[in-house]
Amino acid sequence: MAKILIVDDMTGIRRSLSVILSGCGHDILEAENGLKALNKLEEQDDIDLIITDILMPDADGVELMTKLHEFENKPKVIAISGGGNKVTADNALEIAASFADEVIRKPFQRDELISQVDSVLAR
Amino acid sequence: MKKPSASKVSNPKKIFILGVTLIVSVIIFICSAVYLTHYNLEKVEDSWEEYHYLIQDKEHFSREIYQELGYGGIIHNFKNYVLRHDPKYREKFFRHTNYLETLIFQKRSSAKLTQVEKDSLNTILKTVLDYKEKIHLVDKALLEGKSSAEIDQLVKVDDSSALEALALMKNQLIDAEMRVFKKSRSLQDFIGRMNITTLVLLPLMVIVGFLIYRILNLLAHHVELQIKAEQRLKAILDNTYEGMITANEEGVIEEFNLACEKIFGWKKEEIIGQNLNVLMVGKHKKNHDSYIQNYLQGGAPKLIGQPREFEVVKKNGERALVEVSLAEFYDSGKRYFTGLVRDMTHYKNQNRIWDDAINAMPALVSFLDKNFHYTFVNRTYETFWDKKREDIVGKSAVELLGENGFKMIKPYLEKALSGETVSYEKTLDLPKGFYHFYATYSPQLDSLGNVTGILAVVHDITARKEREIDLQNYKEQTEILVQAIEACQVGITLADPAQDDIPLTFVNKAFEQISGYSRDEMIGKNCRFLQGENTQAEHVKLIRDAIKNKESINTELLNYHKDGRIFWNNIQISPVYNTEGELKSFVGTQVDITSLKNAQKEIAQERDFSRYIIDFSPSLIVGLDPAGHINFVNKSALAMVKYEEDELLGKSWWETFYPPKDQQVKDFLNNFGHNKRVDNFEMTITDRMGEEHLISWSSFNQYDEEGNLIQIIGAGVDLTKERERAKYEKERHKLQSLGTMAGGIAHEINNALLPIILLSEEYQERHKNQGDDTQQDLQTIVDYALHARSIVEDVLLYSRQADRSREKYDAITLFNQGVRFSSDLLQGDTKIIKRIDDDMKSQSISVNKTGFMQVMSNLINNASQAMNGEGEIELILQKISLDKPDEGLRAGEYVNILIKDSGCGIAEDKLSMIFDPFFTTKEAGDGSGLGLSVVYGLVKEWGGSINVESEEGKGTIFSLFFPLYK
Repeated sequence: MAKILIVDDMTGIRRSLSVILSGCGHDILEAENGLKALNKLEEQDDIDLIITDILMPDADGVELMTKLHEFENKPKVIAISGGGNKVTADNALEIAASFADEVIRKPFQRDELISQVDSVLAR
Repeated sequence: MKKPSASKVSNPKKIFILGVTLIVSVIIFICSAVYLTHYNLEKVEDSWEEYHYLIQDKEHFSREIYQELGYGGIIHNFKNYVLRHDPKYREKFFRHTNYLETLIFQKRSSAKLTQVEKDSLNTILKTVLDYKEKIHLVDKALLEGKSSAEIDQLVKVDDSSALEALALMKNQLIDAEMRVFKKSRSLQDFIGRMNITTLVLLPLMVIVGFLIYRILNLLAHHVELQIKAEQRLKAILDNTYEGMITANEEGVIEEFNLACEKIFGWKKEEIIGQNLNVLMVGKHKKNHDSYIQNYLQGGAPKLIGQPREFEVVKKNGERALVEVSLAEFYDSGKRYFTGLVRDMTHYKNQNRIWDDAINAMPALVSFLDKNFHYTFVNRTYETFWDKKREDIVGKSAVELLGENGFKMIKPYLEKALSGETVSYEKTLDLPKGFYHFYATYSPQLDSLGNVTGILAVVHDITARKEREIDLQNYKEQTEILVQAIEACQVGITLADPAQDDIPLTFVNKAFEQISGYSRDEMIGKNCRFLQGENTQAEHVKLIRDAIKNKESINTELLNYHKDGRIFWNNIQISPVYNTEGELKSFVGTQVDITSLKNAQKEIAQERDFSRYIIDFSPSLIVGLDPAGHINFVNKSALAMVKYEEDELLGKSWWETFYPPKDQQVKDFLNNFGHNKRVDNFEMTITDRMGEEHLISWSSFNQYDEEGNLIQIIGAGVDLTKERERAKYEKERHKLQSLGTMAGGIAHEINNALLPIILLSEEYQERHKNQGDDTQQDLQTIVDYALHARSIVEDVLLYSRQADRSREKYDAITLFNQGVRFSSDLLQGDTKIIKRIDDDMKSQSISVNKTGFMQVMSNLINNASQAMNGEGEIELILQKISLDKPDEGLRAGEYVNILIKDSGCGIAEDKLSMIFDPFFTTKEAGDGSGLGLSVVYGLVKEWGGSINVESEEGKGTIFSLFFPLYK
């Protein structure tokens, strides 16, 4: 059982991830942007995994990831990206690749999500 | 006939002269008598002396003969030889005989010998020869030993005849001497007598002579006077021009003077005694005697005192016209008639000659009286006025000449009347027109010196004047012509073909300037002094030949100016003929065309420069004639169309490069040549290899001075590469925009798809054991969401193709990676068979690796899907060389990848669309339809090509070409 923070500005995405992962028995927290995610991290230091979108308004995933090292109990990170704009998407993926433990491109399927989460948590 | 009485005229002077003459003649007579006597005497003496010498000579001669013949001579020595047999006598004998023979021969021919002497000499000679003959007998007898007596008897010579002859000669001489002596004696006597006679006769002769003279003189005196009177009369009669005939009452001619002889042709001696009527003709001849009888019997005189003209007959039968005046006189009681006869024939002839002369004069001759009325005009005058003489004579000058004409000559007429001879030359305004006259008016004088009229001699010199004016005009024109030639800026020369070296006879100023030589330096020389070292010999020969053939020639000759610099001389030489067709001159026009030549050189340089620019211009430049034949084509154009220059010159541009079916060309050709200028007209041209080039043409037409099209010059820029680049750039830009947009959309769609997929799968999971339609429906949601995801991926891929960079890769390595990558992605049991040609080793291509993988996987995946995941896919890597462009590829070497399947194939009507974006043959969900368009875009981007062959139900072959990287 792990405590997972899902960060995405889209409610539907947070919800679908949350439904699947909670169904797998994980404790799910949600934040709608990087800033709020950081607040959640400060409130609770037992978060095991952050699943974060890269491009978000008000402190996106990259900003969030760059700040994670400030935390003593640094959670693992899975970055999810929607691709999109070439430069930003490529840059985001590159950055994500350097900060995140795993990058999954949107849209992914349920099995891929579960296996990736399990794999990252197992490290 | 009455004779003048003689009167005694004393003339002492005459008598004195006669006396002196007589004395002188007597003295001369005496002197000559004395002289003659003396002369004769001398002559006698001379001949005597001569004769004496001759006799002496003969004497000497005969003595010599005697000596030679006689003692000590021939006979003597002969006898001695006979008697004494001594050869010295024989020798002497021969000496004497030879001498005597010679002597006789000499004398016989030279001496003046009498016949007797000659005969004597011959006799002597005969005897000598006789002796000479006998001496041989003596020799013979001596040899025979005969005695002297016998010999003497044998050779006895009869020399008596010789001795007789010698004696005869001597006698002759003695006779001759005697004769000479006698002769000289008688002469001397005669001379003595002569001198005495002369002295006695001289005074007697003088006296007698004088007396005779006196008597004769007195006797002759009276007779002389009478003769003189008669002679004088005769002289008068004979010398008078008028004939004088005297006849007696019977009509018999008694006197007939010299003039009559001339008139009638009869001699005085012949005619005297004949009747007068022999001189007459016609009725007068018949009736003359009766005329005289009639008169003598008291009839009225018809002729006496009244001169009348008669026709008479001459001795030779000719007729003559005479004027006769008759007078009568009495002598010794008889009546005589004397006629004065004047030969009128001559007079008439004279008058007629004068008349004819004046009439024949070409001058207008007229006589005017003091009131200026015509009294005479000659025939020329009549002709001039076309009027009869009688119509003019009596008229006044003003009537004939008109007011104007008369006014002009009146002052001269008046001057002539005042006694002056005047001349004038004037143009007169006569009623029949303007005439130019040269006239002389002379006063006509009577014997007292009074002016009675005017002789006018007028020459009509109108024609001459006109000729003079013509000549003057001609001279002026010639002068102007000469001035014009002088003023002419072209060098003009004349040369004389009649002279050996055809020297210059004239040069104008311009030629002096051209050549630098002065006129004096050039005249008389042949023009070749202008030639020099570099003058073209062949042109000089052309000129020489033309002159020889009397033809015109025009050539350009390099000549030398006086100061040594060269100039180009454009020479035109032509023969000049006079109206009779004789060659009179060669006229040369010589123009210094040095500046023209230099200009031509500059133009040539400019032309070369232009040619250089044209040749090295990167633009294609061609020149076409109006029919479209190629006049010139530059190097860039030749390089593009891949022809050699000489293969194209003269060929039709259009037929060579444009198939006539091309409508674009047809349209262009319809307007071809009509447009003065065309800008940026784009046309595709196919080169020799079949490769097409898009050319933007600009052209302009070149016209001659008359506005005729002579050439179309086209300059073209090959737009092919530029267009391809532009097309690519456009595509790239489009894709970039699409990429940007697609990126944004993809992001949003991906975000949107994520909950759909995840939640559908979650609920599928949660309801997987329920076995109702929900499970199936949720799966459908997931499938379509995933299809949407793949579309978004393809769009992203398609939009990003322009951003891939290229690198050089080994073809085999890359091919193998591509095959492995693709087969990893394959689903089903499709097998892959590879074939790599040997010549592919170490060959490279320039591509984007990710793109290449994508292309390979796309095509292999398609092939696999076409076979529903079963069967074999054959992959071939090979090298291909293209000799000419094919399927949109340039000629060159290519790496070729073939992907063959034996699948369903593609319908023919869809083959052409398979590379279009979003075209797909697959069921929805199998692919986006962007795959092949991406493949096509990538391969094209790398300079390659892709094509497809397919047969429905049998399979498809995709063929990829990548340019070999070098």
